Amino acid sequence: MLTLVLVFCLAALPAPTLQGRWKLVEQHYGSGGANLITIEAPLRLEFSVSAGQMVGRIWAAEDRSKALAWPALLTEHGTHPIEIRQISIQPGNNLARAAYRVPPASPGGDVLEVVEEYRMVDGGMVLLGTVTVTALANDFPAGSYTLHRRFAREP
Amino acid sequence: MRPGHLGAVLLFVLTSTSALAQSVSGHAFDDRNGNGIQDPGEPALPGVSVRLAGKQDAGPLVDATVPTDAAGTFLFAPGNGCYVLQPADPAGWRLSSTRWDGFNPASTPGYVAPVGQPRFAKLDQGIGHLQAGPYLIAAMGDSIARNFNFCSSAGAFWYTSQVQSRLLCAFPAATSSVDQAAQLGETTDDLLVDESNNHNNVFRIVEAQPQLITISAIGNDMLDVDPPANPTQAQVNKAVAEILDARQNLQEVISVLTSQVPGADIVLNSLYDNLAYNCSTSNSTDFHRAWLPIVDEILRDLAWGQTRRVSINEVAAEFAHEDQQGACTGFEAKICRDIFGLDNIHPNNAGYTIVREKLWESAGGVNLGPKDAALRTSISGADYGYLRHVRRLYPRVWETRNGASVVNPESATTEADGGAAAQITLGTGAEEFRLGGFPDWYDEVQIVRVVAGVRYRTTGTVADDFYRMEASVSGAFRPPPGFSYTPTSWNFYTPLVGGGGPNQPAENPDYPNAMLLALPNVSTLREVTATLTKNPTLTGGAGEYQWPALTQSELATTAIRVAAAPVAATAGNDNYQVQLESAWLDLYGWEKPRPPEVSGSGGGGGGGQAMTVDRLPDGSLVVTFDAVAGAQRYNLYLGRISTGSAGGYDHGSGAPAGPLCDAPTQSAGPGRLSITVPSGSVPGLDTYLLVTAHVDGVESPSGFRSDGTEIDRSQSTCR
Repeated sequence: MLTLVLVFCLAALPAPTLQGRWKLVEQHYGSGGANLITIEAPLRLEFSVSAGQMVGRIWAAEDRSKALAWPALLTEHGTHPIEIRQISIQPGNNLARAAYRVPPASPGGDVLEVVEEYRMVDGGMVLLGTVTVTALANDFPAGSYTLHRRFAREP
Repeated sequence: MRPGHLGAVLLFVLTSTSALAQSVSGHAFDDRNGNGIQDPGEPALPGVSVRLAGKQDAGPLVDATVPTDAAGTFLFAPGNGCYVLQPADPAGWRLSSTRWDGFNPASTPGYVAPVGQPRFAKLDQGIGHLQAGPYLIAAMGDSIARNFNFCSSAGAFWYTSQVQSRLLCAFPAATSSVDQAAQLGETTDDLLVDESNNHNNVFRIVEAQPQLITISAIGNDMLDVDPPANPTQAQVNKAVAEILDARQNLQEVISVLTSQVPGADIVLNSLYDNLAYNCSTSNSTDFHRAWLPIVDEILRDLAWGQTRRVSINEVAAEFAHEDQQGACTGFEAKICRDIFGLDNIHPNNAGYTIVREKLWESAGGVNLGPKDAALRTSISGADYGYLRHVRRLYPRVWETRNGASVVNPESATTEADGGAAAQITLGTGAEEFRLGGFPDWYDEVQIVRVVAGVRYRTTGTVADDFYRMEASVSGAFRPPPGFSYTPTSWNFYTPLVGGGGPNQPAENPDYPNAMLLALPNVSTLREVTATLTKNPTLTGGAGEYQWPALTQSELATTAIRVAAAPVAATAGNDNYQVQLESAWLDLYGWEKPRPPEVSGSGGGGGGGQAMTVDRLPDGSLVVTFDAVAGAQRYNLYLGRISTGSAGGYDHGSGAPAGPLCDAPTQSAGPGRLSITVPSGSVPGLDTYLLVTAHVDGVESPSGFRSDGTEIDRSQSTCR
């Protein structure tokens, strides 16, 4: 009887989705083990439904009023233009992917191709993912590096 | 005084001031501790030929050479323009190092952006190439070489192109291009992978034969093994193994480039690291703090010990200085702060100006006037320290281990046998041919650096059962199983040839199927050298290491080996031999004056009287000799003729009795001293007596043959 009740309760709970707020708690370069996050200005990612569609927003530190639509690039000099190639947020299978290009700031500079991919794990409490940065020189790959990220769900 | 005379005087003064204001000056000096700085007591080097070539702004080409004066000073007053300095190494001397002080803000001058402390080196072939024609610059390495960041980068290879522009400003008739070889994210392993889709490997660079090669690498090697906070010893060991693998890789890379691209000057960037010198605990790590100074010293040693000196573009010191002067903010103003965390590692444009300026200085570049980054019209401190080559030592013993075989092994112990070589056959196991027994008795030599060298070729075909060559101060070569690396205990060997490679370290290979050696088959004699190194000591704070020179006794324990380095699971046994023509240690430093021989042959206080021996009635001997000025002690050796191998003299292991070290002396008249040998110690008839003196720690030679050559100083055991 007790078992049946428990099963009933679990079935009644909504399945966790990407929706909600996530805080970056780990970032590793390549296969390195050091955690390279900035504690002073933690990165946050938030997914929510807007006009019937899941969208993401991103900001650093605690000031959500400065959130930008995800993906975005923000440096100490301000917002940096990017060319979005793809945004795919799939609530059904808990995947989020964004691919974008960062055009060179100067003639002759490298174009940067960035792909962010995240998937929800651990019963909806963790968002794991990678950020792959590839340099393109005259449209040919000129090397890349990968950051491994771990976000924790915030209440 | 008539008015006309006054005008003439004024004109002269203005001209003099103007000339001095547009000057380049520096010093050449005997850098007795090898730190690149003229410390108190380090002598000037007069007569060093210093060349300055370039072009005045809106003026003629300049190409002038001056010798340094008695104070080691040189001065050019070429006017505003773009120039390159190129001192010529005096015979027997090698440029010591680029100064790398800057880690201690209390003892070094302040950093003033963008130029900071002068850290000059030179391109040995640069002026000749730039005057002759096309000048290809190959920029190898990683994202730093690409001038990469997420903060509005000034452009790919910006700082390299800036230095290229300055060189063309100095030599406007030259044509130049940049081979944009470097790849984002690549490690030192990648520099040894033979691929064609980019030039970021030695194989393509050897084909291209550039005139200047710049390398910025090793940063990704470190990041890829970055241990977590509070790492386990296993995590530290893994990271250190990767650092040591990177050292082997770079030794292979740089030695191949020096031997196979003979027309190229090579510049190696030191490694800045905002995770090391950031005192804020949020994103600095103990591992970086502890190991970055070691990595940078590895890079300096790699650069210095090649057959041709490689310049160091000393950016690390300037970044560290900038950080620590700025209250330890991780070069806050010099690193790209990408708020969303995709970067926070690479320099921003202000940071890359440091790299540019240091690269320019490492090429010997000086701009005066509007073209200088800081608009300086006068640059001083273009100082060049030199280390003297004082000895080449050869091994005296050899052995084979684990089944290696050798024919004519003694040939590897000398260069005076007409080019004969030891013919070494290895195998697919742990076979090795080992050389050692380097003489350690040159106690007048003050060692600053030691370079280990080999000259070899191969016969047959090396396909996959490779070989490696390396030196070890202790002779241990590798730590014992289960060893725990620490910052003061990690350095068990110095790589010379191979041994690293993209498929190493074995427990964490990046390219498990790649080759071990860039040049496995060497048909003509090839020479490879490397700075022989040992562990640092740590008496200051974290990362503040001392790098003591090798001691005399460490020379005696040093070994050089040629060892098998087979690739596991490959079939067969390659049919090849390593023909080792010679191995050696080159000592760089300086020499104390040797005290004169205590023989009465002249120069002593007794007016050059002969040493005399008198037998007293009780059977004891009284040995009387000229006192040696400044001697702290005397030793008396008892030797036997015709029992030793070195010329028939033996006052060492075959002596009839042990020496009287620090023997008591008595006055024996003006300028004369005597030592009494008790009757019980008096040897037999076929014995000779030697007295030596110590002055400032240096023992006088133990004896000379009639032709003036030393008998054998190794027998002087009282040192």
